[in-house]
Amino acid sequence: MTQYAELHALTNFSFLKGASHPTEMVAMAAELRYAAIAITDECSLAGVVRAHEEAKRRQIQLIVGAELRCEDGLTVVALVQSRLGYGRLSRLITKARRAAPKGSYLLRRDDLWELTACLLLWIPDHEINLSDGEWLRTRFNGRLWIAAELHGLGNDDTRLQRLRLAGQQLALPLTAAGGALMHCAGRKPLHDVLTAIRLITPVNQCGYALLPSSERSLREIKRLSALYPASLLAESVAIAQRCAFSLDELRYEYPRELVPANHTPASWLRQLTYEGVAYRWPNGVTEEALALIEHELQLIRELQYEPYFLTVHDLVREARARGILCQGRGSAANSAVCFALGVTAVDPSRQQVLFERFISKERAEPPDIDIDFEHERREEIIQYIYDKYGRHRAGLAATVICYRQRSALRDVGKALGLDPLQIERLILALTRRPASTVIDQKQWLAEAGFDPESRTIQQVMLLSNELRGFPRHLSQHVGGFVIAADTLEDLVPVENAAMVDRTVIQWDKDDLESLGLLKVDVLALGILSAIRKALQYHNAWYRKELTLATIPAEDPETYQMIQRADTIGVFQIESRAQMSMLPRLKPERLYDLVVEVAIVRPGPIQGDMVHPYLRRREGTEAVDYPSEAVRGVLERTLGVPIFQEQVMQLAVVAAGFTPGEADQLRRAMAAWRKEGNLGPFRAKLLDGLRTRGYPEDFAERLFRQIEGFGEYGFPESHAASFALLAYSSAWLKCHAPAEFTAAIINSLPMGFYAPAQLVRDARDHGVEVRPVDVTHSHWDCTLEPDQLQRPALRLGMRLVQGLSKTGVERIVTARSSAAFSSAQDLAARARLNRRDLEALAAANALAPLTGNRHQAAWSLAGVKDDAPLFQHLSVEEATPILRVPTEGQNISADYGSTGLTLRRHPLALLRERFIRRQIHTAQSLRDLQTHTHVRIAGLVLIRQSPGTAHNTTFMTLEDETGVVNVIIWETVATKYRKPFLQSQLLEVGGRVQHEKGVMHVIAEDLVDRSPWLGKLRAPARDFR
Amino acid sequence: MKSVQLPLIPPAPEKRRPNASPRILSVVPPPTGPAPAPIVRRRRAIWLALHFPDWPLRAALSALSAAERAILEAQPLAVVDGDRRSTVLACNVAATTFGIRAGHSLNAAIALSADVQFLPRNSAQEIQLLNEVAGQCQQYTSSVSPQPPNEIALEVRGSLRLFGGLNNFVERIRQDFHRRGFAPQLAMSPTVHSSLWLSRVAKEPTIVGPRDLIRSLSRLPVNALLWPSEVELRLARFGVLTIGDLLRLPRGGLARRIGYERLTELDAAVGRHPEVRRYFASAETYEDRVPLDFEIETTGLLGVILEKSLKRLQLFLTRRSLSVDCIRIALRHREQASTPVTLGLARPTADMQHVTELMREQLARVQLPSPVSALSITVQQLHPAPKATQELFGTAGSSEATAARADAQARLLEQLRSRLGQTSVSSLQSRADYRPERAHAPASTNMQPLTLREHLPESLAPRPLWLLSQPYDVRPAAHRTLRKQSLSAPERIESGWWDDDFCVRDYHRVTSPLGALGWVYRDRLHSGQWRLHGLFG
Repeated sequence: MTQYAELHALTNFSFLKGASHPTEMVAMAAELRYAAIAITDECSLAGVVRAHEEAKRRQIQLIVGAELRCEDGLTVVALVQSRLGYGRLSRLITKARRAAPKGSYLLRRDDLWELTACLLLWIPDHEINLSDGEWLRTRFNGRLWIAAELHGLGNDDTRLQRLRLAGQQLALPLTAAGGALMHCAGRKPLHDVLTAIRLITPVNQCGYALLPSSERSLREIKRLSALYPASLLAESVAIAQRCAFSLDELRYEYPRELVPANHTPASWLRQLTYEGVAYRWPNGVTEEALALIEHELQLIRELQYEPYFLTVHDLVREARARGILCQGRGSAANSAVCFALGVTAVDPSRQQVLFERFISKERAEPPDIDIDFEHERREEIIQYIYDKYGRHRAGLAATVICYRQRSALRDVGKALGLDPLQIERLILALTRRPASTVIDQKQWLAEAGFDPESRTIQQVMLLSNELRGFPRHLSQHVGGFVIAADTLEDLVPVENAAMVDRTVIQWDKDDLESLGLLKVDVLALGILSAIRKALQYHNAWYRKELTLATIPAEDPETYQMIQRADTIGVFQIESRAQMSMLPRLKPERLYDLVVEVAIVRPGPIQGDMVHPYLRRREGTEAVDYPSEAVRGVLERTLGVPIFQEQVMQLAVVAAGFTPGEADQLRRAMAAWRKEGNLGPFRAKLLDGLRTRGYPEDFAERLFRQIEGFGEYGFPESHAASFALLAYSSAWLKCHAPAEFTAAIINSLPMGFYAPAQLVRDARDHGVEVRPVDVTHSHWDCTLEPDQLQRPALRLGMRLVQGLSKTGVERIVTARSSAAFSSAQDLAARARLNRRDLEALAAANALAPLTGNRHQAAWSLAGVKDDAPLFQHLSVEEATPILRVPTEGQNISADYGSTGLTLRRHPLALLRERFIRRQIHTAQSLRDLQTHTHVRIAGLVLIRQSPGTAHNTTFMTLEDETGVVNVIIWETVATKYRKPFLQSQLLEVGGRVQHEKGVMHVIAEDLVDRSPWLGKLRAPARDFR
Repeated sequence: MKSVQLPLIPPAPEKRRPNASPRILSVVPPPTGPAPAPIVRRRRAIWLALHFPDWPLRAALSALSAAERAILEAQPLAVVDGDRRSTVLACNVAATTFGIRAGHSLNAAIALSADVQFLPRNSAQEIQLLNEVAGQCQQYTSSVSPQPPNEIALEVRGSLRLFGGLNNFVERIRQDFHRRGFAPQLAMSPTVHSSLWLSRVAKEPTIVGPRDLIRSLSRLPVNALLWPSEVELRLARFGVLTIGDLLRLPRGGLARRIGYERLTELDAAVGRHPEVRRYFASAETYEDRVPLDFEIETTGLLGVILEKSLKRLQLFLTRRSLSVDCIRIALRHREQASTPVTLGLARPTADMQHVTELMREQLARVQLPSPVSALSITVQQLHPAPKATQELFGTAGSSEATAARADAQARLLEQLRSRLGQTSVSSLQSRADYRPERAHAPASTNMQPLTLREHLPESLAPRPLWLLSQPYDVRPAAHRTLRKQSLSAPERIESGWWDDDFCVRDYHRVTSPLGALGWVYRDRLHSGQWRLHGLFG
């Protein structure tokens, strides 16, 4: 039988050129019984790892290669023969990519010289330029072929003749090759669309830029035999046989400098661990903890993971030296070793988390530790990594940005000539609601005024579906670093990122994982900044030395506050949904917070795990287990699977998955929304459960839960670390409210709440809050002693909109030498420009110097921008006749400038009107019975429509006495669409509902009262 | 006088000028530049301002056909700007009932109602429509000043008596517009600025005399001035809400804070500073009527007379440096509808000698139904004169030659069409399309000279010169022979899925028994039918 190896195939990682996924290419090549397939994307290896996995599964030889187009037009395909050749190709690609802006490359002919241990195919143009061939032959003789690519253009025979003649003249052999751009002929329309997107021209105007036919797909060998002489097909196989490289040969070597000369990695890790033990357990370590540490060290040793722990330790040590708060999380982070190394502050003896649950011997899966750093200072750590290991050894993993429904519809719509307005309507019609059936879609299309049966609409739907999931470009991962022992470029090509001075490697997180390469995630987390600052303020005020690890554990007062859902500003448990859960879940120890953090997420909610768990916790439902094995897995969560790890363990103990299969399941879970291929797992899981005697409904429920987890599944290992931060921030809020509020405002933007709510909450907790004042405020919020010598919160000038930080710095410096005598004095000595002065005046921060804000604004506005101000301000002017600001105007201006007011709440001004309309205050609502009909009104703080809540919207309304949570069903939202969408001040008629300590109002009608606010601008934030 | 270096910010003028009036509302000319001449109190003007709300909607609709308009107007409808947010500029009543209003983003509007229809803004049409309306206003007064985008100011003092006094006049205009389907907001006052500002808030027609001017203006909110938002913001920070607040402020101080031009604008509005207005001139057309002393029965004689008329046109054009691309000649008869002769030109020209030749060609083909008693020449649209090639160096020769060649080609076409009729001559155009039957097509209406812009890629096999307009079915019996006879590797074409002509074909070159070289294809979409599509020379 004739054999063939495809030596030239591009995938969709040659962005907008290839029209098939690497996996599709490989799978098709296997199906067509090719001897091998080369994935040769244009100057890129970004798709080879995926191809490699598929090739292993399909048992077909994969050749790694790349199509290389020199700037002078010379085009070759390089095929890797060995590890050496791979390194050379990777380095060449790096060089070409680094020489050009993101997304492009620049290759010079002479650069090709570096390609040792690679085979080359020359792809001549239509005009066969013999001198090019000659040039190549002198350098690559013996490993150079002329690629004959015949694409059914009507002159294939003459083309072949001319290529043969060229081969004779140059004494070069010919081989057949496909130059495939898609895996099957059916992708031709999508390829046309990709061309149209690339040229930014509608398909019907792309003309000869399109392919004439689908011949550039993987073709049947039978058809190839009709096109090519057998000798050329045989040659392709011979070439493939000379390429013996497999990506499995890549072995990651850790950086060596972390281990001192007289140590092995194991002995060094042991030493560091025990140094940490002495520090963590100053009063002597318990037997139990010691045993745990020894056990873990043993496991690490067996798996040779020491260098990984050393790498992580190095980063954490550096952060600590710089005073940057950080915490590790992830499978290996919550171990006694990590506690000792300072990677985490979670004392392993405080929780039920077992190290072995995260690292298993059977799975050759590398440990996974994400380290969160203060969001404002993470960049310092990134720069430290670059400095320590050098840019040639450290690189950020890529994130492959893929087409999603929205972007696919937009680009396909444009390519098919829809006008931009139509496209936006189409997108809105299709994306506003959750995933659905084809019939639903048709109905929505019809509602939006499209004919779902029209050819164009059908084509847009079909092609945009095909395009979904196609990679668009490589972006940088949020913080996944790969550090190589020698040169990173020999391992994977490196290219420029969009940010200056940033580079990314061509592989993403999953690619690295499938090759078993290790990466360290260096992430940014706002709450760490806030906690560090709060601790700093608190320690300074009370002369203490509290740290994240020494915050008093399991403090009952803190848990009481949490149980009241008094958690504005507290990490993770401050959202509307979390708050409504707290009074029911009543957390009383850290592990309850671990569950709380993980359970209020789309995954568990969709998988219907929340209510069973709550019932079991309240004792209204019996806790039972279908088997002892399952009890082992689920006991700590009362028989309800809540964490990702539990699902995987269940698959192993109850359905007979191997750990490796369970791991594949985990990855499929993460990707199923994108690719939707849980099918094979479903069958295997249900089968496995059935044969082990589990009831059908248990099996079905488990699978539904797995689906629900999807990409939102939350691992216990992460929840544990987050819970500690939640507890720590709650403790600070409980015992140091002024410090805590200052710290959060000084770390904004972060969390859920705007300064207005944070300040209001602080005042509710008895903190005195003082306004922004140019004679007292700094950039950040500061603490001043109140009458009882407790800290009072002085708002910082960072809250003033439009004020420059440098201006504030000059104010503070000038103020330190002498107090300001007047606004003129301030302007002159702090050298402020008009913008800054106007901003200060608008915030009423000049009140002590100038009187009311209108006068301040007037007296400061008469100054020319950036001109020296001193002399002009002293010009005497006629006194203007200005209105005195009313209370309403002041409130409105306060909101406008700083987003909050310390005056009365705007609704207090309107209360009389509300009383006439018999509208309740938030406070008076608490005493009402369930089902009482009430009318309430308030500023809309938050509108939240979680995707999981079946088109229910949660709104938070605020009046002068507090907040009310309103639930708006879809029918009400539709009926009162206008007030629902537009109100800043909303009046709601509805019924009170008390449920287990949580109170809502279920809305029945809505009235927009925004006009009553007049010019008052209230901050509203919409959350999706 | 010694020249003095002026400081960046001039010192407060009210202190330095001894003769400045102590009243707050005194006139202080801007200190930079020469002081304006004292205002000569001429007859006071009276201005009428027309403010057209929802102008973008109006204009966008007016660009549509009546049928389209009727369909759209029945639905909620909004006009959106071309900016990134696609801001709604105006919407109809049906749309406002859904809560949509100007200033919303496109997405917000769709969120309020999925049924809203959208029209893109048509700025050109807005201006054109405003000019049209301004043209119609010339019936009331000759002083018409359009104020884009959506306002017109008329100086009407002279017209008042003509139309029966102030109130009647306003009512008359209101009704006139009402009849034409417009509902402008009307305001009458002694200055352009004030009339415009008043009209922006005038729900009812407003008439303000000189004595009430300041009082009326004082009540207006500052946003009626349509000053940039940063100025509005600044004023809001001073607590300034109305024009009255503004007028109360010290002038020098105010000018420093919002700019002297704005102070001048305020002054102009209250009549303390002269206003400069650009008046409206209607677009020109050309019409030349030639009554004949005697009736003419032959076209030959007509030609001679027309030649003279065309010379007059030539003079008109050169003086104004204009050109024409279409000239309509009407030959009027005593008792019959006139005979039209239209001279369409490939490109605008001012060269009447060429036009005269064309006219003779055309006239020769005209059959006169009865004697001609008068004739007229009209040009509906005048264009700016085409620029002559004026390159001095280098490429001048070649580009001139190209221009000359294009000119010659155009003239040849015009002549051919004059002789054979407008529709009998058309040019072939090649198009970039793999489907052979679509790769060439007659260029439709416009007289593009024949150029080959889109060449078939070199890598493709050559195509036959003679393409059958309808492919010819080959008998099934001959299929096998055809397949054997194929002279070359087939050419595969799979293209056109995006329109009604999806084509999936394999083309072969074959020789017929008679030795002709044919181009046949197998239609892979339609059960492999073989068809003959062309013949090689």
